[in-house]
Amino acid sequence: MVFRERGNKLKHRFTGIALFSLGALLVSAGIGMLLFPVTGVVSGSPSQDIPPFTDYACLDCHTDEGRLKELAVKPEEPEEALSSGPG
Amino acid sequence: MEPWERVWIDAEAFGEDIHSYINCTECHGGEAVDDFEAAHAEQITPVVNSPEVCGRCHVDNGQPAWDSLHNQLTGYDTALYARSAPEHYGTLEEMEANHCNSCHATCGDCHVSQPTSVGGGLVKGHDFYTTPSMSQNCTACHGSRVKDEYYGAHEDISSDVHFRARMACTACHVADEMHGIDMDNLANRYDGTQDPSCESCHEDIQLGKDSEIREHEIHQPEDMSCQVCHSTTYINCINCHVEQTENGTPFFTVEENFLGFYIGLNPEVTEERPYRLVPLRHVPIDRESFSFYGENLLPNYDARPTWVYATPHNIQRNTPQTETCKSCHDNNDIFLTIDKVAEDELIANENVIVEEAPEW
Repeated sequence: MVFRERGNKLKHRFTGIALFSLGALLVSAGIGMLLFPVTGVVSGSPSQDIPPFTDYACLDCHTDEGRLKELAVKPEEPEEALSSGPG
Repeated sequence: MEPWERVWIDAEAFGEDIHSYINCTECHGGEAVDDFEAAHAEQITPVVNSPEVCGRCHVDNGQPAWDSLHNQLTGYDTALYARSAPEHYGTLEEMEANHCNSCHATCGDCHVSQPTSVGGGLVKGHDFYTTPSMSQNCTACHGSRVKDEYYGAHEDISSDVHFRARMACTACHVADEMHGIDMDNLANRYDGTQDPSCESCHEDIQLGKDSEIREHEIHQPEDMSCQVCHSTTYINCINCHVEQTENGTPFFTVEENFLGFYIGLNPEVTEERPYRLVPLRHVPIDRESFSFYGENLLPNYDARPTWVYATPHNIQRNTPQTETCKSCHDNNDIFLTIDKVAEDELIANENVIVEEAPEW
């Protein structure tokens, strides 16, 4: 009876240690993947890391119809206006 | 397209595009600041079609597209340099830089904006598209010959049967051809594999003997190209002169052009294009085309014909040639006989002139 209780206690301790180790392993693997990301090259898809988008100044102006109307100017002498005959 | 529209980004459409994750300056250069002058000081617009820009991600297409006829315009160089001499190549390069550079088709000229040669301008608010627009991309450059023929813009001449079947350019001219995949070192568009060819779609049309089509049985594939019977009147340009205004704006003048259909000898018979007879089109050149840049820049003008291999884009099942046998046989009117060639160009065209129409 005593041996059976001791055996059960040992079983529970081993199970606890195994579960704790497995948890620690998963956590460290996750940290490792965050610290050392693996990039793959796929044809026709981005082959490098894209830095975060920061060019909001460009976008703010080029999506603003009013501002563009104010700033965009017509070219003075387009080539097609001077040329004649089938190109 | 209004000047502002050319550079307007449709936030909603472009927001869905994967390219919107990339910083503007990554492709365009310049600086992302609120000041107009500073922002555009070192801007590259439009984005050059280089393996270093688009090819960074589009690794399969970047380099071949850079090397392709569409970008390099090798066909022009092949013809110009053959008519010139090494001591003039530098001057011709200067001329080409002024008059031809806007014709180089970049990736963006087909996939995001109108080509530079027609003033550029974003087509869908900077949203990228895989298939080019027939009207705003392909025929924006290929406007005077291909577009007018394909759309049927010439009076009394029908549009191409493929146009009437609602086929866009890309139905025949597929991505690999446009990107120059497996098309290394071509001298011009009629060099290398014939792709597209009529037979690549019309597999059921048997050629030559046993074809069960009388006309196809009589005329062997090596006798003539399909266009000899199935294309019709097209435009020919005689002379193109390039110049610059006092303030350096380049322009061209084509003084003479006319509609006609002329069957002549194939200037370059190859295994891929074995035809003896083909339609010939006069190209817009003469000895003085580049005289603005220097004297006698084309000393070997006679080295190449001025009537060249043509594939008019006005294909019809029935044409004036298919009406009767005598439409072609004994009919010198539709053959490039000596009387139709300018005296000054007889030597250049001696290999393509037909003595007379075949007898009936």
